[in-house]
Amino acid sequence: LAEKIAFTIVAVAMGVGFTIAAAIVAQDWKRFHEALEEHALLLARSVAVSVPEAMLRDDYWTLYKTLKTIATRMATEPQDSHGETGVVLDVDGRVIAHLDPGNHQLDPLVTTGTYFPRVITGMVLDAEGRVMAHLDPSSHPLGLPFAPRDEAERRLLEEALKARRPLVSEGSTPEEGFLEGMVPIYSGGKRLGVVRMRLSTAELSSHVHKVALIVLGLTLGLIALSSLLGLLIARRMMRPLAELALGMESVGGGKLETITPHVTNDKDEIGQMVRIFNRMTLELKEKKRLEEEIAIDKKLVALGRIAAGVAHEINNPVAGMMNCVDTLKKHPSKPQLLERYLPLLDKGLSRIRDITGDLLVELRIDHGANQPSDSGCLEDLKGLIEAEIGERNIRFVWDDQMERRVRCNCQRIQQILLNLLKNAVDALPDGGTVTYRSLHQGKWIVFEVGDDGLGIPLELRSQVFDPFFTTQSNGTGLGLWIVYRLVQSMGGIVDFQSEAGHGTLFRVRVPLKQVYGEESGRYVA
Amino acid sequence: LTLAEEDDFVECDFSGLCVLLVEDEEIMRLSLEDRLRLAGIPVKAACDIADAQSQLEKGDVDLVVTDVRLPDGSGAELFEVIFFVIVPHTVNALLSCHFVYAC
Repeated sequence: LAEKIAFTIVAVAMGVGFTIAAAIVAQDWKRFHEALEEHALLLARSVAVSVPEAMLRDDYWTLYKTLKTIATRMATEPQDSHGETGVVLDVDGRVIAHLDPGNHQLDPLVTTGTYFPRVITGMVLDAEGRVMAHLDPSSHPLGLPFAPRDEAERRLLEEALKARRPLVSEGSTPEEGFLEGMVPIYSGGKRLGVVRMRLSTAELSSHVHKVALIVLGLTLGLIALSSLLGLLIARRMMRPLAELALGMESVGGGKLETITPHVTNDKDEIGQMVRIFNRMTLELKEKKRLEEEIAIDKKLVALGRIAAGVAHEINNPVAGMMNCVDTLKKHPSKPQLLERYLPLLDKGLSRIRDITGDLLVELRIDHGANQPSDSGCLEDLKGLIEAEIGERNIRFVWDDQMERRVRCNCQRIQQILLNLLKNAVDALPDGGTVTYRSLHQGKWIVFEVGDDGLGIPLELRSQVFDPFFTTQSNGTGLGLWIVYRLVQSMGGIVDFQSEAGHGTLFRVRVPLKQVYGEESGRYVA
Repeated sequence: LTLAEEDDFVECDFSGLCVLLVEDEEIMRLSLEDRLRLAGIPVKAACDIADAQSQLEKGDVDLVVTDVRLPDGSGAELFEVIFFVIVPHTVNALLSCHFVYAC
């Protein structure tokens, strides 16, 4: 947008600048053109006024002198045409009176300096078009009709001969443009001939060129200046906007900590916007900080609950064991006490080991390496569960429908399934059946572990996944909690259906992620 | 139970009083039972509220010592059961590792 605004400003500045420049140049050209026309007429008139007497006398020499003098003398006094000064010339073209005599010597022969405008040619023709006098007498013999060089010259000649009153014509030769003043010569109501004075427009053109160049230069300078100014203004305006855009982008991306508020004292709309944005990000930051604090608090609370649970679960057997040890110390003479307590101590210690072991499993899987590998690793579970069943009369149905190309995070899924299967085996009375099933379901891998035992009582269902919740005398209450945590860590879902007297079915669903490239198999996250 | 508490026990005369221990943790229950028996105090044991209730209904219980956390409820619930439902005058005190209910 900054570029757009700058570009627009430059374009407008250029448009305005060039229009003004063109107007100035046109005005200037018109003014000088008019001045030149007047001058051409003046010259021709001066001659026309001075020559009737000489023409009547056929005094060619006087005619030539007058023409020559006026052409050279008058050309140096262009201001006269504006009537600001007055000049009276004698028949020979001498200055005999001048309104500003201090600057104009009464001597026509001292006329030097550059002509402005330059007289190309001048002539006096009689009514029939014969040359009476010419500034270039060698190529135009006196007394012979004026011979026009080409068609354009011929038309000008006709125009001049027909002229009944002074007029100005414009024309051009291959060398330069000119203006021609044509003034008829009258004497006593009789038209004697015509004076033609041709002035070059080359000076006019070059003058106009010069003016145009100056104006163009000035215009370009002004354009550059205004463009620069425009750019500066645009950048000054756009900088806070660009920073705002950056800030908004990072807010959108949730990266609140990378925002450095742009400080502004501007009272305009942009300044207002910047201030509002700053306030908004500050509030967002504060909100995010509070959310983080709450999340940490929640974590700490959960941790505290676990710690309290661990303390309670371990303190119970420890207190009992200490009682046993104390009793043994107090009654060393009773060997039957030792026999009675040793299995109890053994059991208590195993219980503590199980709890710490389960907690370690949770910790290890939480932080350990989790490389996906071939899903065949789940077959290992079959053997483990069969060993767990041992001599008990429990049927175990293994139904693996998973495709071989599916790779999975074996460590986690093995742990999940092991806990679920062990639970099922423990919960079953003799004669029961444990079923395992794995299958694809759209973008999910589903594992089902079922039993046909007693089911979970309705009132206990909400606590099933709570840590240290157990219905078994030797359970730690951590198994299903670990399952829940592991499934959650993989973005999956675990739930169960249970019916009193008909058993329980745990279902774990884990999302599949598509893997492209070398390992073009899908795998479980 | 710590040793200091046990000394307090010894100073009191518990002879002829029957104690009902309610504790789900096997090792705790058995060890406490043994200690009381060795101190010459008759002991009955129960592992949950239902068990304790049936033992209480049989009578001959002067003191109930219970854990707060039990598989089928809390020690406080058991206290209410004893106090309002069964035989209020038999019970003197309830003890647990967390709280002491005296009455």
